[in-house]
Amino acid sequence: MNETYTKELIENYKNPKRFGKMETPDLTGRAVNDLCGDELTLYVKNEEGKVTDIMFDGRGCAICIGSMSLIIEELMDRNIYDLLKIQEDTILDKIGMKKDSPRVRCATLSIEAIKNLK
Amino acid sequence: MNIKSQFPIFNNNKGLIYLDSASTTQKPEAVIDSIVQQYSNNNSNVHRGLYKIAYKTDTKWVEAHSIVAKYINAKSYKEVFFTKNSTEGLNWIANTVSLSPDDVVVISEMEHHSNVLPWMKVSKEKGVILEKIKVSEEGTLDLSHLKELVSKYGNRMKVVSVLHQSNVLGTVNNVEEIVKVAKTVGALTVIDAAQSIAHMEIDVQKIGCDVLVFSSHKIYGPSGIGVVYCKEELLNSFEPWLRGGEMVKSVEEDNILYNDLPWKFEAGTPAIEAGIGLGIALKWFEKSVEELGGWSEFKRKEKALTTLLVDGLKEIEGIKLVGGEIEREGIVSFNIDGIHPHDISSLLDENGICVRAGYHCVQPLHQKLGLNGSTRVSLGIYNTKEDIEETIKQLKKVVNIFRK
Ligand SMILES: Cc1ncc(COP(=O)(O)O)c(C=O)c1O
Repeated sequence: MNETYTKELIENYKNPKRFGKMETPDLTGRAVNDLCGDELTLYVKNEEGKVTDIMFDGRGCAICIGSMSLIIEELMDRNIYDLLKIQEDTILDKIGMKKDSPRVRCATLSIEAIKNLK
Repeated sequence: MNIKSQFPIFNNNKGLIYLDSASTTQKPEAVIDSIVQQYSNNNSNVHRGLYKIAYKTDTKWVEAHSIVAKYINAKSYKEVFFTKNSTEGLNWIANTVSLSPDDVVVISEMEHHSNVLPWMKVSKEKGVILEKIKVSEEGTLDLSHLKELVSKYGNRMKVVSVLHQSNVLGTVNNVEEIVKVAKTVGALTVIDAAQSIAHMEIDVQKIGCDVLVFSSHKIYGPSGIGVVYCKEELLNSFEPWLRGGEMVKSVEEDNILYNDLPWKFEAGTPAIEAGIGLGIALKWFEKSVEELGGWSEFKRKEKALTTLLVDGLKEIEGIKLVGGEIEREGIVSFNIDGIHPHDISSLLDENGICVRAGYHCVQPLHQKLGLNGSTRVSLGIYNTKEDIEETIKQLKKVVNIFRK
């Protein structure tokens, strides 16, 4: 678990990238962890199927917020339909979390928010 | 006397610091052994067999009820029946007491979900008004509000159901006073002793309540068994909620003859080994308290550990305890600025320290206090000064990870 709480993750939690509410998004994706009430909302501007701007807000633990922040830059300029196919492994590999960690849901909430974009 | 060495979990998990006893307590060897013995030597059903091992099991089952009755000073074992847990006990009374539209049920703003949801259901189904005794910003129950409710509703107030010790704040409510006030309008009084049972002497006659519930697993006994205490005359007047085997003597066309008290309220095959184990647990606990120097010494030690914990926590930058300057007994909840309870709990777990994070099944109180959950440290009989000191030390390291 300590491997997960890297300086980079904590930095992304304290100062998350692209954090805030987007006023007129074309797509939003929301995900809630029923276990703890943590939640993320992703906002996307879309031009001809491509992500031209992206932001998120919500509240959660370091793993939840840090994970979203850590992958959000990679989502820019991507094809929306490709994005919807994103796998949970993407984030777990990135933050070095094993699939059987009790905190998997905290990390994959970011993926769920992406998959819920509509 | 070394208490910790009597708990196999600490031998099997070297260095484990268990600070989540409010959730469930660890089990002493005596209790674990009793479960193995019951299955190995006497396994059979209760109230059914005519052979020797069944007779032994039956005797132990009745004896467990007697031990519980004596432990909480009920008049006899007839006033004690076993359930799955406190939750089932509270559901039982909510579904048993007779209520009509516009009757009033009073709970409080600090209740565990298990003393909220059953009454919400009854309130919705029967048109009963559900009122909540206010909790102050400090975290204490506002008894003057209860008195206002009594004046407002008079004898329309049919039930007052409150917890004895808060599993979030750690405070103990003055249940004797609450019962006294409720009795001025003849309300049925229900006490949720899920937390208090392992932290203080419980005397149902002194409290004066009609009903009291607790769970075996929170007082060093097996899980899967709970206790309802209820005055005998009430039990005689109540229809059983659950129906089936064990709770009847004979079933003819239109004529059901219920079993004697308390078996009338124990339908179906119970968690036999757990019920017997609860008796063993209470005996073990009573003896341990005695060896520690009696209840006053037990409470003094627990208070000293709680104070050590509170003082240690207060040294941490950005800490905010749940509740103000209140009398906490072995349970302390807190938040640290900018650090989520789940991160605190995960990082402490790295060092073998178990604490609870989240709402602790008390979302309404957290919402009232404007909190998105908290981290909770709760003590058991096995916790030591070293446990607390190590926890504070590790907690400071956790904070450093986030502050750097
Ligand atoms: C005050 C209180 N009431 C009720 C319960 C429910 O106990 P159980 O889950 O054993 O039914 C708890 C358990 O956390 C509690 O703390």
